[in-house]
Amino acid sequence: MGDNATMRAGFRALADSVRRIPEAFGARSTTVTIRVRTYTASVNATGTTLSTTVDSVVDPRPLVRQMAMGERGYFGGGWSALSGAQATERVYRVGPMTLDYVGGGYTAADLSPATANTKRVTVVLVGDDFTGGTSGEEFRVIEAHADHPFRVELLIARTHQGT
Amino acid sequence: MADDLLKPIEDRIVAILSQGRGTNGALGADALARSIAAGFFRPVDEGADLRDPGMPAEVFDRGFRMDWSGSRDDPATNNSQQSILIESYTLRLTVGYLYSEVASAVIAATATETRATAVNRWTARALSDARNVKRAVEQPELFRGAPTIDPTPVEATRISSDVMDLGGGRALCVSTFNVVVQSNQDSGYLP
Repeated sequence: MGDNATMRAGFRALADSVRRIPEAFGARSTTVTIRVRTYTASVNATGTTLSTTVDSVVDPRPLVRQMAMGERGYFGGGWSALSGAQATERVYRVGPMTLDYVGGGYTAADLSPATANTKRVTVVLVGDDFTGGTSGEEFRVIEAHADHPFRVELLIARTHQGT
Repeated sequence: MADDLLKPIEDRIVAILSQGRGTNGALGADALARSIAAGFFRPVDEGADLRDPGMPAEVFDRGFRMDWSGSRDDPATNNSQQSILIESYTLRLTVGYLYSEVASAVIAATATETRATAVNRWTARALSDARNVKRAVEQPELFRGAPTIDPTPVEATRISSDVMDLGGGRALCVSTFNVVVQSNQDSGYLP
């Protein structure tokens, strides 16, 4: 028996519909945006300037859960850091999000684009658990999992903020 | 006024490593020959540690930071009654290098480097870079030439360059320099 890609795509479409329900009921308070900044040359190099910033808002809003406090480090932040606690690079799991099908979904590469020395890829989270108001906080992708036939998930940690 | 005594010295070294100081020939032919092209090295966020696993990959390769790890009086020339104070400071310059099968797109390769080769020759690449850093930072016009700064950089001498593997495709090259600085004993060099 061969693979049934048609049925898999059908289940993905169904899963995508189901995953829209929590957002419709107001139960997804965090917006997730994949931000890709492209630079004229190596990031941070003298003379390098920002060329483009492309934001892709993940639709529907996925579940976002904090998984760990993360490493203590320079790129740590969040509400507790602002009140004097140690800065930790908080780790979040984002997903499940539906894998791509005709008409919707995402591939792992859509959510975790390849980086380069001239490109910065971050995941921007805006919501109650994040400082920065409507700008939110930026995270880097640690892992992208697409090992389930109907979903893809990201594991992300706080990173450099801004350009 | 600078933030502290050593900020002008740091700024001078940053100019040599990453801003192309001397590449226009204004500091002479020797300085030009030993100068480093602008953007060759890249300062990481001031305060951020290249050992931090959270350091973004796109700024890691040939990213650098500086740490001062000690100071000593010059053994012969200081007189507490004079305004001139000469000291030696130990500077650690840490440069990051990426290596791995998948890192070739992320390394900060020069136009003439072959990415696929360079990415897996990190020890040779790092020590070759360290030699060029030594050549530039020790070059008198580059280090202490115009414009004058206060405190005055007197000389810099590399003590050693050592490579270390952090694992996960990240490595460091740490070069230690002895940096001699002349300051005004009557000034606190306060911000």
